[in-house]
Order: sequence, then structure tokens, then C-alpha cells
Amino acid sequence: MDETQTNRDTIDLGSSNNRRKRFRTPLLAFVMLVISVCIIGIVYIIFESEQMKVSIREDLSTIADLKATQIANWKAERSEDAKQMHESPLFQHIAAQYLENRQDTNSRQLLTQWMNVFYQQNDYCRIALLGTEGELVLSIPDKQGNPAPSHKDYLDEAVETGKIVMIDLHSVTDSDSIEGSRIFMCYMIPVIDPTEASKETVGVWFVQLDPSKYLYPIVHTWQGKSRTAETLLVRREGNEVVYLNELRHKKNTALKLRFKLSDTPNLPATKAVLGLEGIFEGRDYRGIKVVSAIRKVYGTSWSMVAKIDKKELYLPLRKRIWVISFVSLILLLALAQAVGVVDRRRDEEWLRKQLILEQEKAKLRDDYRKIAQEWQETFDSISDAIWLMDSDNKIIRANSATTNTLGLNSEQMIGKHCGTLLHGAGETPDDCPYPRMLSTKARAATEIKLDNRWMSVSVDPILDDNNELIGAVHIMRDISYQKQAEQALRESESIFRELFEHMGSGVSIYKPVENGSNFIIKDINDAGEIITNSEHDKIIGRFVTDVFPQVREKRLLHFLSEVNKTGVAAHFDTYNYIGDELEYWLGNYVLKLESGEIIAIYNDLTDRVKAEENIKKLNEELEQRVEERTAQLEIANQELEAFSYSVSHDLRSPLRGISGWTQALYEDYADKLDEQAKGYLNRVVSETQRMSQLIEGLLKLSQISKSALTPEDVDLSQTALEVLERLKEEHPNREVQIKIQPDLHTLGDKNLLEILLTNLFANAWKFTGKQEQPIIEFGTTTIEDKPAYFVRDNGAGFDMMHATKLFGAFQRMHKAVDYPGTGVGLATVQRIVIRHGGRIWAEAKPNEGATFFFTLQELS
Amino acid sequence: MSRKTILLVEDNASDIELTKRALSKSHIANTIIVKEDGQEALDYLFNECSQNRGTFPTIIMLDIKLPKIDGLEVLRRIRADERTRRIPVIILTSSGEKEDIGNSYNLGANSYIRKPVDFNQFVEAVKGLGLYWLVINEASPF
Repeated sequence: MDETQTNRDTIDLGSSNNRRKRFRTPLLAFVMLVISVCIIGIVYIIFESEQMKVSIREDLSTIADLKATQIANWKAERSEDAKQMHESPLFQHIAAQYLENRQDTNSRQLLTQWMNVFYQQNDYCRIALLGTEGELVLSIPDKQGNPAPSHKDYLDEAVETGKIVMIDLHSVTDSDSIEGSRIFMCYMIPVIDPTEASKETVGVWFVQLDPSKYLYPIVHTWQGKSRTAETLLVRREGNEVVYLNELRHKKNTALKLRFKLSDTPNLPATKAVLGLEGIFEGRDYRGIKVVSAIRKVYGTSWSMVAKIDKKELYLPLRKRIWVISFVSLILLLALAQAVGVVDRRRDEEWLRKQLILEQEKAKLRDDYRKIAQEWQETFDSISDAIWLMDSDNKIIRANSATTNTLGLNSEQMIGKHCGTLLHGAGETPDDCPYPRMLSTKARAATEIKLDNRWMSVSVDPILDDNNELIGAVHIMRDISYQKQAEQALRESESIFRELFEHMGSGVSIYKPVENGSNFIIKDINDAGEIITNSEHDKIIGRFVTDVFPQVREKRLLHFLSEVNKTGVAAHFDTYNYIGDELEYWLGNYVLKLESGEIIAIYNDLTDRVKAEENIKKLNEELEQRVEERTAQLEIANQELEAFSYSVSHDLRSPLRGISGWTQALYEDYADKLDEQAKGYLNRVVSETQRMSQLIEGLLKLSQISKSALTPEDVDLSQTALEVLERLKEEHPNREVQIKIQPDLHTLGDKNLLEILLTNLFANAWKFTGKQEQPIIEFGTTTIEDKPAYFVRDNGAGFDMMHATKLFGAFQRMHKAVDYPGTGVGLATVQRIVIRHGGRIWAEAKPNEGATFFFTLQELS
Repeated sequence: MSRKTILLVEDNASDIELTKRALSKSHIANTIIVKEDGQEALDYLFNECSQNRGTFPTIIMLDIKLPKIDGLEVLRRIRADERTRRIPVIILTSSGEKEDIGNSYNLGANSYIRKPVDFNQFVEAVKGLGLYWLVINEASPF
């Protein structure tokens, strides 16, 4: 994150200097890396060479130690051999005997035998027995010349001392050898007969060793492969150092190569013969730098030098340095390449970022232009008049609304003093918010009236960081509409408040609390106070459950909660009875306002409910009474039926008797009766007939009330036609004009309707009997917006004064002599009409005809 | 002729006499046997007449309103019995009730006469009745 930040900062500054710096950084890092690689390499090499030196020195020391020990052992063995010969009593005795008696073949044979064994066992190249004077007595191999002359001194020493004398490595001229000389080492072992008391030396054993058989191979062999390593034996001869063996790098050196000690102080051989031991560096016989390990060979005058060329010694080290250097170089090259790649990449990134930066800058410029434009448009499109002022109260900018409102153009405003412009030369009004804003350095506002418009004017300070005024913003808003709305609202509020206070219904306003489970009374009107028997000031702000505990019991609270929850207005009645007496009955209508408040509108319905209950009670009583009456009526009807039946049967029998016996009297006693008596008897008979007719009429009337109605479609026009046809047939001598309106249908009882029409037409027929041009008409008309049938005639008519009697049974309008009849016809007609749910009435004038109107309700 | 008897079932003495008079005035001289209630009529038919097969009346004139057993019940029993079922029965009554007329025919009445109040008309009716049932009509041979 920080790195990124740094990079960005660098890029943001974007100078070429930084760019150079940016390039230098990897280079520096690279150089540092190279140096550190070199240091590490050198340190490593030093460390390695030290390690190697130690290792080589250890190797050289080991080799030198080993060889010195081997050679010392070899030398010790040889000395031991000589000592054994010297101290072997038997062998010495035999040798002494043989020297005493050189013809003693037995001893000779014995000695020769033994000498052969000795010769073959070891690296001895010659074993010889010499006389004290050096004469050769025995020799194996025996072809050799006498060695004594060349070693006369050593022989004499051995003879004299009787002790073993060793002749160190020495060169002997040998014509047989290629080099012309050979190198040997010899022992002179005096022969002393142990059995002789004199202990005189009687001879000397000469034992010659060839170092090339054993010693030199020990010296020359070198463990491991080396091109320069060698071991060599040296000894001191006077002021010189002599190389005892053949050298690796120089031929023909054994006992020949020698250096003066003083000339060659750095020669390892010199150091060896000077008695030094350890590891030394110096130049060898070739003058080449070597490292050498020097050891004395125990039991000899020789020193052992194991050496190796320094060059070879450091060869692997050098190789390793090369390898390391090479690898480091490769590594560095790779690193350089990597650094180059990274650098290039960073370079690309830098360019890309630079591009983005440029794009962003361009975008910012665009945005700025756009914002400026947007701002200007916004500024101008705001309907409030806004103008900005500097600290001197001079206008520096005004939007379109300002110029429109004030009726000035920008030029007239810019640079002018606000006060002068708005208030003219006159004094600043008291409610000008500007001075207030200056003192408080906070928004100041007022409302002013400008050309019948109400304006809200505010001024906001523009402050710098030090809270010093650097300008101000004036905002002027037309609030006329708002003012009007407020006024209207106040008026409306006043109206509704009046309505609320004076309406007949009780109104309570509740605010739901406790998640709608309870309500606080916010307001109640006068009617509400009266209905709930409460006082406005004592209940406002209290829980409804505290003021009216019965709302729970009467479930009104639950109801209020439901309306609050669902928002659906609903009716709910609350009431209470004390015994059977209604205490109160309230019809409640509860609704929820958008504000969340709950309104309850309620009316005291106690009186109304009481009245309704009374009516209900009365109705119940009435019903009961009707039932009773109906039962009585049914009984009466049954009685009437029984009566009519008996009338039909029982009243007729005596009549027939009267008629019959009067007839019998008339027939049987005709001769004894005068004309007057016969006339009386005729009267009796005709009265019985008349009574019989009355009874018939009465029966018919009762049957009409009794019979059940079977509703069906009745074609009244057709029925009327048939009835009139019958009348025509009955009275063929009469000419009556008949008008029937066609297609009059109704749903009713066909039999009864036929009786109805029969009676009405029979009447009409009868009462037109004295009319010269009688007309009977049947049709419909509209009476009081309802259809009504009518039967009209132009007959005798009647006086409307008697119209009330018209439909009563046995009521008659005319004398029986003029128009005979029983007086049950119209009673029957009225009964039928009533049974069809209609009514019947008549209009008539004497001698001008009568019209009977009737309505029928269609039966279902 | 004398063997053709008329059974008149009627409780009203005046009507009995008037009927007899009407029959006589119509010159119907057949024997008239009068029974004044339903029970008597049935006893006559099923006791007296049954003992002598030839004594069954030729026609029966039956009033509906009768003491003990009414006329319609008498008619039903007549029609229920094999021996009397074919005898013509004329209902002769004061009733003009539709129910009575309908029930009579349902039970097998051969004729229904409503006695007119006027005696002359009554005589005319009885005359026609007698003439038709006693003279014109052929009675069943069985």
C-alpha cells in the first residue's frame, strides 16, 4: 500500500529528475549485488583454501608419518636381523668353527644352508662370511667379488669392537648396472664364538641390502593420484644435504644430488637435515613452490620429506574459484536481465499511468466544464430568486429567477449594493435579515410583501476559514401560494373544528400506543363528552382503558385494535342492560386516519333501540293476536262451510215440501178452491222458488271463497267472447254491439275469472235490455298509472250515491220487476277480484250506463 | 211388470210421499219399497232379497244424507257385492255439492238427480227417470 502510494507520488510529480532517479535505483542495486556476490565469493574462497590447506597439510603429515614409520620399522627389522645373527650362539659357533677349520664341510654345508634361507627370506642381495682380514670365506650368491676392500674401515671396526657395524646407503660402482653404479646398505656383523672365553672376533658376516627392493618402493609409493606429490629421503653429509633415492622429477639423483645447506635455506630437504619437523612451504630442488611435511626417520640418520607442488595443491581451489566466478557471472547476467525486464515493465506501467493521468485530467476538465454548466443551469432553473454578494454587500451573481422577480437584468444588478437595489435610497427596513446575519454570522430570514406577493427572504453568510465574512447568499422565495394554503388550511381547520365541536355524534380521537394494544385519548368533542359522561380536560392524554374501563369488557378495545391493525373502517355497537332494562346503546363507527390516529364516531342510540324493542315487542304481540284471530277465523270458516252445506241440503227439503204439497193441494182440491185461493197457492209456489234461488246464490258465493286457486295463463279476451256468445245464444232475440280488446292475458284461476266475466257481462246484458242500441265493451285502461280492466255498457246505469252498496250480497239497485236478480252477482265478482289481489269499483249515471273497473294481480 | 220393484232409500217423510206421488203421477205403478236409513236398506238388500233371488229391486233411488249409514257408503257396499253390483242406482238428493256428485259417480252411481224445489219439475224428473230406467233401459241379464 505504502509502496504504491510512493510510486503514485513519484508519478504525480512526474519530473525527468525523478525518472533518472528511478533508473539509478536498479543499477545501484545491481552493483551492490555484484559487490556482495564478489565478497561472498572471496570469503568463500579464503575459507575454502584454508580448509584445503589444513586438509592437505594433514594429508602430507599423515603420509610423512606413515612412511617414516614404515621405513623406521624396516630399518629396525634389518637391525634386528643383524642382531640375531650376532647373538645366535649356535650360528656364531658354527661360523667360528668354520673359520677355524675351513675344511669342515659339515659346518660349511650347514652355514651355506642357513645363509640361503636368510638370503631368500629377505631383501638381502648378498650374505658373505669374511675373515678378519677381509678374505672372502663364504658368499651367497657366491659369484660376487670380495666386498671387503671397499669397506675395509667398517670391517676393521667390526673386528675391533666386536659389535655390529652398519654401512649406510652408499653407491657402488657396478659395470653391470645401467647407471654404472648401484646403491646398497650393508651390515658388518662380527663372528664371535660364544664357546671361546677370549671372545675374540674371528670373522665378520657381511650382509648386503638392496634398497630398491623394499626401501625405495616404500619411499616412492604415494596414496592417491597426484601429479607432483613425492616422498624422498635425505641425509646430511657435512654441509650438504644428499638425496638418497631416485626423485620423481629428476633422474639419476640417488646419492648424487646434493645441495649446500647454506645455499638452500628454503629447500625442504635442507630443513629436514637441519633436524626440523613439521609442515613447511618452500621451493624444492626444481625451484618450484611446494608444501612439504618433514619427519625424522627413527633409528636412522635419514629424514623423510613428503611434498607436493603448491600449484597442484591449490588446483581444485582454483577450479572452484573458476566455477564460482562463472556461476556468479551467470547469476549476475541473469539478474541484470531480470532487472532490465522489471525496469522495462515499470517503465511501461509508468507510461500507462501517465496516460491514465492525462485522461483523468481531461475528464476532470470536462467534468469541471459540465459541472459549471450544470451549476449555471441549475442556478438559473431554481424558481427561488438567488443572488450572491461579496463582503461589501455588492451583488456578484444572480440567477434568472432573481432578474425575473425583480424585473431587472443582470447588468442592472451586478456590482450594485443589495440594499440600494432592493430598498432604493430609503433606509433599510427593520426586518432586513442582512444586518442580523452580519451580527450572528448565521442564516437570517424574514417574510416580506412584494407587489401583493409574499416572499420568504433569507440570507446565508459565506465564511472563510477564519470565520470572516467573504460574501453572502440571498434567497427569495415566493410563498404566496403557501400563505394562501395556510390560510385555507386555517379556515378549513376552523370549519372542521366547529363541525367537530358541534356535531351531534360523539367523536373521539385516539392515538394507538403499546403496539396498538391500548389507546391514548387525544381529543373528544362536546357531544362525546355528553354521551360518555366525561369531561374533556380530565381525560385528554390518558389511556382509554383508564378512563373507560368497560372498553375491555365490551370488546371496544379489541375492535379499536383491529381497525388499527387492518385500517378497515367498521361499525360496532356497545350496549349494556341492567336486568331487562337497556342502560345505554352506542353505535360506534371506527376508522383509521392516514396519520395513524383512530377516530371513533358514536351516537347514543339508547332511545331508538328502546323504541325498536318496543315495536318488536308490539309486533310479537300483534302476531300472536293475528294468529289467534286467524284460528278463530278458520273456525268461523269451517262453521260457514258446514252452514252452507246444510243450507244446500236441509233448507231446500222443506221448501220442496212446501212447494210439493201446495201443488198437491192445488191439483187434488182444484174443484174446491176459488180463483183467489189458487192465486195464493201460486204465490206460495213462486216464493219457494225465489227462496230456492237465493239459497243457490248464497251457495255459489260461499263456494267462491272456499275453492282453491289454480293459477294459469288465461286469455281474458277469448273468455269474454265465449261468455258473450253464450249470452247471445240464451237471448237470441237481442242485438247487442260487442267490443272486446284482443289479447288480454293474465295469470289467474280460469274458472273464477270466467265466473267474474260471466257476472259482469250478464249484468251488462241485463241492464242494457231496454236500450235500443246496446253496447258492451271490454278492455283495459290506465288508472292512477296502473292498468285496469273495464266492462262498460250504455244501459240503465245507477246513481253513484248507492255505489257503496253495490258489491254487498243481496244488495240490489233496481226493482226486481224491471231487472230481476238475486243480488249476489257483484258480491261474487268482488270476491273473485279480491281473491286475485285486485280491487273493483264502478262509475255510473242513471240511464247513461255503467262502467265496472277492476284490477288483477297476477298470481304466482 | 209387477216384479220390477223400486227401492227408495229416503229418511224425509215428506220427500217419500212426494216421490211416491211423483211416481204415481208419472204412471209408474211398480212396487216401491221404502227404507228410511242406510242400515235398513242394506239389511233389506243382503238379508231379505238374498234369500229370494228374484226380489232384488230393479232400480235403487238413494238419498245421500241418511241416518246411521250414509248414502255413499250404501252405494259403495252395493257395488262391492256381486249380487247387487249391476243394479242401477240413481242418487236422488237435495245436494248440489260438486264433491257429492263426483263421489257418487266414482262409487258407480248410474245417475245423479238433484231434487228440484219446484214439484212440477220434480215430477218431470221422476217421470223421465222411471221411464228411462224401467222401460227403455235393458237391465243386465245376470
